[in-house]
Amino acid sequence: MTLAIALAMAAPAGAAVHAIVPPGNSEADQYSQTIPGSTGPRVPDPTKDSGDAVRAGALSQGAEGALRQRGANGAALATAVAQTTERAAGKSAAPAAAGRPAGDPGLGAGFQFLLLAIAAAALAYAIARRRGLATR
Amino acid sequence: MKRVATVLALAALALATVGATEAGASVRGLRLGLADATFTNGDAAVRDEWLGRARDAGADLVLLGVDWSAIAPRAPAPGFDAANAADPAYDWSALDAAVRSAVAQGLVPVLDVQVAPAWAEGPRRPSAEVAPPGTWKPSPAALGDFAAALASRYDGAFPDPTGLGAGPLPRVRWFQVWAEQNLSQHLNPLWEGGRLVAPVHYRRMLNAAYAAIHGADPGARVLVGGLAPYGDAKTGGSRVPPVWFWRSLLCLRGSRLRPLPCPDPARFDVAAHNPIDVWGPRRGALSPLDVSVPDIGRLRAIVRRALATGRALPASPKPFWATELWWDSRPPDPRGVPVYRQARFLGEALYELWHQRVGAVVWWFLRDQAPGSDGFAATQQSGLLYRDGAAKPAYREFRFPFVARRESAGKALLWGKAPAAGPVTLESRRPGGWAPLTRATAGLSRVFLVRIAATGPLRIRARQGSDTSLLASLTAGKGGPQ
Repeated sequence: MTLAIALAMAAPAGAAVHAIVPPGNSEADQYSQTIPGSTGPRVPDPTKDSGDAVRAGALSQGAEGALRQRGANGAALATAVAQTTERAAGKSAAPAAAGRPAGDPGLGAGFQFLLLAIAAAALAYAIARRRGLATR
Repeated sequence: MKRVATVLALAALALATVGATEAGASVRGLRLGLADATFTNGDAAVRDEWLGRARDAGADLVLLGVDWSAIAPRAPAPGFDAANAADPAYDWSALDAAVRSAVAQGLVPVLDVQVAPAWAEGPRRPSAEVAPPGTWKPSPAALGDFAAALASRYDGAFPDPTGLGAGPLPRVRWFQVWAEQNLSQHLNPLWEGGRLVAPVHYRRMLNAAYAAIHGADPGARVLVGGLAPYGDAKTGGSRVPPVWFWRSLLCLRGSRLRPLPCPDPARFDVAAHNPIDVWGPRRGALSPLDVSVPDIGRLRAIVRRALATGRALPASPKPFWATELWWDSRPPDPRGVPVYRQARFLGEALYELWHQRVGAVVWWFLRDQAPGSDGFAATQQSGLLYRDGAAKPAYREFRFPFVARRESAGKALLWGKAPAAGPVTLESRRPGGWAPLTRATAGLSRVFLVRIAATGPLRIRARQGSDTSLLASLTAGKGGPQ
């Protein structure tokens, strides 16, 4: 944000789809972070090396369902992922790159697994805590 | 219960013993800066008041925006000498006043040039909705002329046209070329025909400005414009991921950073980045192409490779600066982070950046902005001060940052920047008051670093004279780093 922009707050953001914005600046989407998804088309580096291609896709239905069952935070995260995803069957995240061979697995499966692991750990903790309280 | 707490506190104290203290003089520094609209206010009294508050907050640097389009004539007449700071068509009055006020308050100005005048933009300009004014293919040659005028005006020898003060206009040493040029709000086009073109055009702008500034004042230093931290990893996006932008700027290809032909390598003295963070400062960006607070190493690797392959000039070390950092607070913004968390994020970010060898950090802003017509969402309430000037906890954290970080189950690191050079006492909270835990020495950089052996939970603060930092907490050492 330049000083001029900070003062005027005039320039609308571009057409990018975003997810997580800085707290308190929901309109400052030039600073929002897009969540890399687990599936979908991959986007090659414009410097012509596919080595660090990233994916722009969606959570699987199972992962999304699991997230939504994890309470408000999980539902919010699932919504954020859905909002930032351009599914493979829909519009392409990278028109110029659609269908190109991919380079590496990106954040895909690992990220999805991490989300599920966190959700499972939180659930286990909550159950354990409830049992602990019940036995007091 | 009280007895248990006392026993626990005493046990923790017994386990916390002084470890190796790094000598104050050997701890590298961290310059702190502030940006704020009040610094360029047209009213001298307002300007001086808030610049004075910035100095009192412990700032060393102030980032002043230089609106090229406002200083240059709207339509240059024949004979306009754009490289001549004394050309009467230029209107430097507002910038002169801001620089004069900042230096009078003992602050170091950093001038950030942005926004090309319409006549210096490229041909076939689209609508302002597509490319905001001043962002369309700014002419590198015209920017070079303006940079020459700017640097010579503040080379320390230019006569003060107002006659205010006894001598010439103050010298300015730091010049930043553009800002967030990876966003379409600031530079266009980013892409052309599916190709990323903005970094190449920006390289021409940067090199023109670099040559002009160093030509006017060889002792001046040129900063790359800080990039926004997050991008869209897709062709044609309105935000280019900073890793892509830096690679292209420095003629490096792909994740392996293979050198590309580079007939005119980028020239700069300081690498800058804006690691504005959507969450806390200890969580890196999700995408490996983005760069938030803990991810500076991604850019450093690119710059290091460019230096090694002659794609960043001159071939001298490139310090890194963080030229924009902020979190909005609640209050007043209901969607901001709580004020104490804002302060903690600030301190943690300063440590994280210092740890990554960042040399300076600029916090936006000194004072909260007023809410907009639709509330707080489009303006920033990230001030160290509320709108009315009252201090938030972040003010204290900025003035006396202090972080306690567990490094292992039995060891902790205490880091901070004292208000002044000299001895610092680290105190731990005990039932009934604060007790000295260990001591440190803040050298000329004012940064101190102490490692202690500590296994129990501790609540610690730093003290220097009557100044105390905010409290930092260490949890019990159960395992790895906290």
